Amino acid sequence: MGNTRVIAAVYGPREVQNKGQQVNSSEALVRCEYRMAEFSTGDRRRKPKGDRRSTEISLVIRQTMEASILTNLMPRSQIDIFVQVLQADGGTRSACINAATLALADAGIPMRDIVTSCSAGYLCSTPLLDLNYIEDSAGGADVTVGVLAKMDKVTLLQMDAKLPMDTFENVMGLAIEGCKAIANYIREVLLVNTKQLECQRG
Amino acid sequence: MAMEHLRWRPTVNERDFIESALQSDLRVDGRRSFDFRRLKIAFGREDGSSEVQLGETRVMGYVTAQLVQPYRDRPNEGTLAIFTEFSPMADPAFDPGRPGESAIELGRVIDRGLRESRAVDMESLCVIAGKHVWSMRVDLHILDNGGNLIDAANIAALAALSTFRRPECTVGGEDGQQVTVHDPEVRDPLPLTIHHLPIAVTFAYFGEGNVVVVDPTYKEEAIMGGRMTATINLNGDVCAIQKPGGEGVMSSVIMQCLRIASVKAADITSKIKNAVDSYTAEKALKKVKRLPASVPQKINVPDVTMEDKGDGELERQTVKTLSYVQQISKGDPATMVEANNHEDAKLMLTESNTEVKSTSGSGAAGESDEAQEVRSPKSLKGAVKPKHKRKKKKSDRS
Repeated sequence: MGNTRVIAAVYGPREVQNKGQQVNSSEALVRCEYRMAEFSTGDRRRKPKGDRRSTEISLVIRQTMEASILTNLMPRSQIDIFVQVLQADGGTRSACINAATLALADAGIPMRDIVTSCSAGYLCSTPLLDLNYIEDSAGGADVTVGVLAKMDKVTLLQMDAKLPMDTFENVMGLAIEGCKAIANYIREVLLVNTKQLECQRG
Repeated sequence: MAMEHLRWRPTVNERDFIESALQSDLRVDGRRSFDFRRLKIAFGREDGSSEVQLGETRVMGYVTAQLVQPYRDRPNEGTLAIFTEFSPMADPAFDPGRPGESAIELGRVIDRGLRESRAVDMESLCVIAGKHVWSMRVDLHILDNGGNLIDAANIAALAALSTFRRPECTVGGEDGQQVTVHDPEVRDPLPLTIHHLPIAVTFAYFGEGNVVVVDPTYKEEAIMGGRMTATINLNGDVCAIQKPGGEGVMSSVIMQCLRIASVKAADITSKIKNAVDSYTAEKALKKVKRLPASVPQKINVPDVTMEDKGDGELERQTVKTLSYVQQISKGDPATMVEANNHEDAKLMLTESNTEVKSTSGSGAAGESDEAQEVRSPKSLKGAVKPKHKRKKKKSDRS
């Protein structure tokens, strides 16, 4: 997404490796890990994973994807999602969720719907879509939305900084539209990809 | 996440019962869908400590401050850090030591609500730009997990920040770089500048996202499909929203939740303000109550002594008020005589007189100030006084 580059890998469904973590034996266990490469931001990062922000984003991505994956079709198994940020220029959360959706679809894991995410902000009385790093650190609001595209349901919603309620409604509406545009694009890409795979299979 | 398997898991019966009750708009503890549980805010002995009880959830908040070097890109702003401690006595699922995911999430949600929305004024915490700023640290201890920790912890943090008093410090020294932090006994500590109170309201979604309740209990949390925490302040500004995945909901439902949240936020803000006001009033009263009430007639004796020691019109005019105040502040003939004996240094006396004169007209409310003002010359003199007398004064003051 612009200058933000993200890579996602999905493993599974496979056998649960840590039996202690398996809470619900009638559903698949979804694990997610969000990492930022040390070279991804301007200054070299000290702690690529395990710091509070990464842990929170891992939790958020995991719960977002869990809402869409049909976990009850794969009981007693585990699905791992690993997301790595190679180049960070704002909106890494959204890029990671989009990448995870593509990886899950490519892996053939059954999902309810495509989950797409987009961020929007509000600077100088204008709602802006998909903020980059400079716009994000300008101090205005930053709204990240994740939607289930066809079902038109909001799964992920995070906001920081202060916004009056009606302005927030506008910004959220803008972000949802952005998500739907991304969903259309992702669908096209997936179709192209599947056709290619079909050709390769012969 | 070794703690996951220790987390209480609902039985099938409980899950069905709670869900079917919610379908008919009933909650297991008898509340309506958008009712908060009973909120009780208590304060500790020190400034800046609070204990909040929201139903069965208990959280304790504690604020401390320290002088540190500021961040390089923000040289004239103080810092605010939130630390959470999920003690295992709150919930068997909490591991001691490393904070789990929910602990980190809670810390970050409250941090976003307070810091990004600029609830606490950071620039007033600057002492010397680029060198010394106050660093606030809010510690939140979860004592009992009865569900909805985020809201309770947020209220605890706000209550603690509202009653916190930071020590006053002055910049002095030859190069204007030396910072002296005054003891709270010498100068009254200052409250923080809080612009607004961001209140967190948590919603839980059940079913397909069409059943919404406010302030879920522990059992409801274990069963819910998704949750959303909206941090709203009294002016209707949305300070932070956290909906970490989970059940998908329509955006119209989200806007409706925000409207409900703003109503609830107004309610809780008033409760917090009432609790803080009554606590500060009680504390101010305590300050005066410590000093026993005095009878005006007794003034004659110290009056005479004062006039002897003092010289100059100024002192005679203010002598009555000073001695009356001294009466209040000491109330102990022995120390009063001692105090009179201390009025040797004229410089100190004129200082205290001018101070007292300015505050003498303010009445009962200002008495504590006067006592404070009178106490400051005491302590200044104490630096000169021999040790045994100084000890006596200190024990008196406490």
